[in-house]
Amino acid sequence: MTEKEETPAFEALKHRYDELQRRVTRFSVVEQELIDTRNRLDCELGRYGRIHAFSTRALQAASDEAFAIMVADALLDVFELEVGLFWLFDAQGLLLPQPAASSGFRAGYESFASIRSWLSSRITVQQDKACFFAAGSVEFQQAGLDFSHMLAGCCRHPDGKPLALLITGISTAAAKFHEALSENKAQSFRVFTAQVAALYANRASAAIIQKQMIDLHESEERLTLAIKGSEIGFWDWFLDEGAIVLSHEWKAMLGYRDEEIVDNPDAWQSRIHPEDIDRSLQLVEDHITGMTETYENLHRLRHKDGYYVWIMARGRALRDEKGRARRFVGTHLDISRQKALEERLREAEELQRQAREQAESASQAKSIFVASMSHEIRTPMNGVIGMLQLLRDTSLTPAQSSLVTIAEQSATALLDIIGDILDISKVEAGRVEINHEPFDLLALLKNVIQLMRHRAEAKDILLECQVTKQRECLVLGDEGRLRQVLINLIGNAIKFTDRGSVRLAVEKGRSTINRHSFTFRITDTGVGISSQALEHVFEPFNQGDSNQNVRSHAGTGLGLAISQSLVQLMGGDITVTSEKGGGSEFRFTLALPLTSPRTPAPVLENDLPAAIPERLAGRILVVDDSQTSRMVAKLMMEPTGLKVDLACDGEEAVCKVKKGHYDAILMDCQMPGMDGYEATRQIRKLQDKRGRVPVIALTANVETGFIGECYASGMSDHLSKPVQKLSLLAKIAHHLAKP
Amino acid sequence: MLEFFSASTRMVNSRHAILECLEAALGSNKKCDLVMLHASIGHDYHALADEVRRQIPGVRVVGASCCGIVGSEGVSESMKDLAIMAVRGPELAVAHVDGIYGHNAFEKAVELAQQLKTQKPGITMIHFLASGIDIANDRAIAGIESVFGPEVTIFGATSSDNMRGVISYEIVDDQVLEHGAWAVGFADPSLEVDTQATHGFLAVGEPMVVTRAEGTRIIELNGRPAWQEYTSRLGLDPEKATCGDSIPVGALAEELPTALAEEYGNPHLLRVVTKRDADGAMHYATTIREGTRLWLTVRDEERIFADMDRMMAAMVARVGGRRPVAVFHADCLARGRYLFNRVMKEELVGRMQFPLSCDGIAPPWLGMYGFGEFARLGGANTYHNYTTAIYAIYRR
Repeated sequence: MTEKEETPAFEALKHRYDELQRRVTRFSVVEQELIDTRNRLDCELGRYGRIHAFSTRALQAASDEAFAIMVADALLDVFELEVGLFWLFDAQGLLLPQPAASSGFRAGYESFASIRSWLSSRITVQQDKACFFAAGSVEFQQAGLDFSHMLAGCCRHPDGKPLALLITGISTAAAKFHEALSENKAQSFRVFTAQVAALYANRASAAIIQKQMIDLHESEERLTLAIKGSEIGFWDWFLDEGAIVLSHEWKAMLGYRDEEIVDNPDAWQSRIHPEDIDRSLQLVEDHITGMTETYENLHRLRHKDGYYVWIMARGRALRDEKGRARRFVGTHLDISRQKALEERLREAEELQRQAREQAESASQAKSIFVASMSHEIRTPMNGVIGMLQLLRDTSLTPAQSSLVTIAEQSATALLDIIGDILDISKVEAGRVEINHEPFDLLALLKNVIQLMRHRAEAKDILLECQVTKQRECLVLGDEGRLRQVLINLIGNAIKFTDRGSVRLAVEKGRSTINRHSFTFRITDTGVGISSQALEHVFEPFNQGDSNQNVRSHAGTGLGLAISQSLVQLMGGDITVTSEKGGGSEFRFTLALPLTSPRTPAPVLENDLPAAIPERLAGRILVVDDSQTSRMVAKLMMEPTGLKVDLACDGEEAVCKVKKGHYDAILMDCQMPGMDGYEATRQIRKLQDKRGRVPVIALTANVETGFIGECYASGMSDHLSKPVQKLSLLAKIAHHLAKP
Repeated sequence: MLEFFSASTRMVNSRHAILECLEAALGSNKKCDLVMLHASIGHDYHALADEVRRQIPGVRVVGASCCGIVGSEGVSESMKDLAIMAVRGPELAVAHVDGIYGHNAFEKAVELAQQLKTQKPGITMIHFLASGIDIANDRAIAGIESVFGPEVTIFGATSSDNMRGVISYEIVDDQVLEHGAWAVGFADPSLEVDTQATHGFLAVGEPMVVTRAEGTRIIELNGRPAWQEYTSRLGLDPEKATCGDSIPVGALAEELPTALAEEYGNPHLLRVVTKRDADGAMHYATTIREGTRLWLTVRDEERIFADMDRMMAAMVARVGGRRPVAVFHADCLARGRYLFNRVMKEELVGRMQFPLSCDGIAPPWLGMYGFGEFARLGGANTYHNYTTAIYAIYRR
């Protein structure tokens, strides 16, 4: 072959060889393009995988802060760009000043301001578009942002409200390491944005659910603690299934461990006390059938040790829409201890009742004793005092008259002692009743001052009364008791004052509707009371400074105790201020209801008439089992002209009244055989004027009850023993004067 | 006696990533003397180094940017990968230089080696890591060997970015360097290292002849501006194509001597072009002589896997059943996601790790996808490209 012939062939061959080489290298380039494409697909697939992984992790985010950081990091992890920002909107749809989280952001926080400004304008422009893709760098440069590329997506609530902005991008410095962002990447970014939006929106719901779960959990804990603390057993009966859940406490209160009782309804029913079972089952039936609003059953259940435990069961059925009970839930409370306490309380009450009865009985006995003693002492005292009075009417030498006076004073003092003992006995027994009768307070004060004046004058002491001037002051109250208190306090003041004065001052205080407040002050210039003695001044049998007063001043020491008790019963309280050697002041305030001026004050039967006629005419029957008493009465009355017959008991008296004519009868109450009450009742049964004869009770028993009984039996009036001559004659004169 | 601990993560927050890795590698006992880290280009390298030093005061830190990492936990190539190897023990020396380029690689390497030797004269192996762009790696090896002798084993890698061929970083304590190099000298006499590299590429077509070259710069191929000739042969547009375009497909093959070819399992050694100048000159990874013939190559997946298996079998056979106490691993970034999909990549890494594992548990492992790899070939320290290079450290 020639060189010329070879050349074309060689060239052709060389050409084909070169072409083959190009195809080989071309094949490598094409293969690489395929590999790159596959790699991009791998990357895209990887992004979706990482979005999924992020979603799984984000569900576990413990807080919004942690969630924000997860999102910012995920932006870098998923899209492999340089910066990730999670930026929240406020309630007005404006971006907050700084992102909630950033990742890979190396510029200062001041850069956020320019980013925020630019983003805000872009968000406005983009309106509701979920994402936008900013690829050009010019735009960023104009805004002064160091970004080469940026992806931003708006996470919106399903209602369209913007929640957060997701931003990922590349700074200009890092752009050389990244491919230009493509639509492919924006596609997965949109998916990511939607995913974050859903997760973030759900977080709010999740947060609510979480809070509710926490609240529920805490509530359950509290309930559990409360149940454990209160030792309440719990049962939950599923009626359709016949299954029941019994709590640990339910079993424990019967002495069982959890595993020792199988949860079924028979666990309850089989342990009910035989006496309670029918009623218990009926109560359950009634509630399940809707007959009762709630189930409540006090019953006994058998303890593991054989004895019975008192259980208070309470429950309520849960019903379906048709009202059929599907579930029955309730509690058991062991009230055995309460029942035992209740039993002990009942026993204590019984003991208390018995003690009270015994005390009352003792008190009654004491009262009877005191009354009896009073009666028994007063009766002979009637003779003593009466005879002394009769003796005074005889011709006496001055020395004899003085002796009679002393004897009279001693007898009167003895009567006062008896009166005090009787009063304190009644006070202690709680048998003092306060009357609420109309009386004129001013008249009372005047009367008290009159009564006490002679005592004061006897000691040459000035007795003053300072009362607001007014014509009358009608109030409701217990005039007798108030008089007793005032006499006692004034009497004490006189007793302990050797010179100077005693003053009674009554001030009218604040008035309320129909009620006046009166403050009573009894002031003296006497010996006064030491501070030590003041503490005990109202105690019974106390006479102030014991080493001084008891010896020099007579008395039982009961007066102040009685007065204090009476004032307290009337709603007041006596207070005392005193200084040793500087006199004393006793003070109390009473609120007394006003009464109408038109209401006439009752005429007091015991009021003495203004004057007793020197001569009286009439026939008087004196009935008394005591010969001395009969004699005293007879001797007091006969000098005035009165005819006096005597009877020694009721039967004789009735007999004499039936046979004769009497203008008045003095009737002793307590007599052997027919007593004065019965005799009076017999007399009142008589048809003619004999049945209407005035019967004046003579009684050594001065208690209200006895006096009331006198009137109840038909007696017209009463006189207390020992009989004062003037009182006796006044009574007789009063009744003789009646038509 | 040195101890090794490794961990890796894809956590995006640089400081949190360090915390997680230290926790996983060291547990509660954070004490260690050196932390070597590989981190892909999205990480904040300053933050990484700072967090290590904050967590372990006084620790030395060295690291490199890369395109992806390989740890005992597996492989990952994202913008936010991190792998660490913590080393505990006193038999260490750490040195670094800055401003290493193609024209001064030898001098800088000498300086580096001298630093190491000053610290630990008994160094038997050196982990070397330098910038992957514009460096004469053969001269760097020569510089180190000029201090330690050719017997010292040099293993390691060159740092990279994510296949952009723009920049790479080296971390040394609190510094992040763009053209630096660091070296860790291991002076633990109880340790030895076994290294090997493999690529599995096939040279195709007629070679291109270097008709003009200076140092590491190939100015002309076949009498034409090198970049034009190179990209034309690749079917790329010389004006538009970047190194990022050419690296995956443009491995250049140098012919190996027959003896080395047999050991290597391939008649060619590969080289990468990571930088080109405006005048059309290309930066080669080593110095290159005029007249050198360079072949384009194609990747053969079957051969890549087969050669990998062959290499691992040889390594296992050489150590007589011992298991490594640590494995360093350098892989070419063109062999990662730019070549294999995720499944195949994991399969490939699995084939590396399984033979070196004990009861299925991989040893402490620190690997990276970078621009180049150092491994011995024919008993000499050699720089490789487009390979998988395994450096298994054994207790003697």
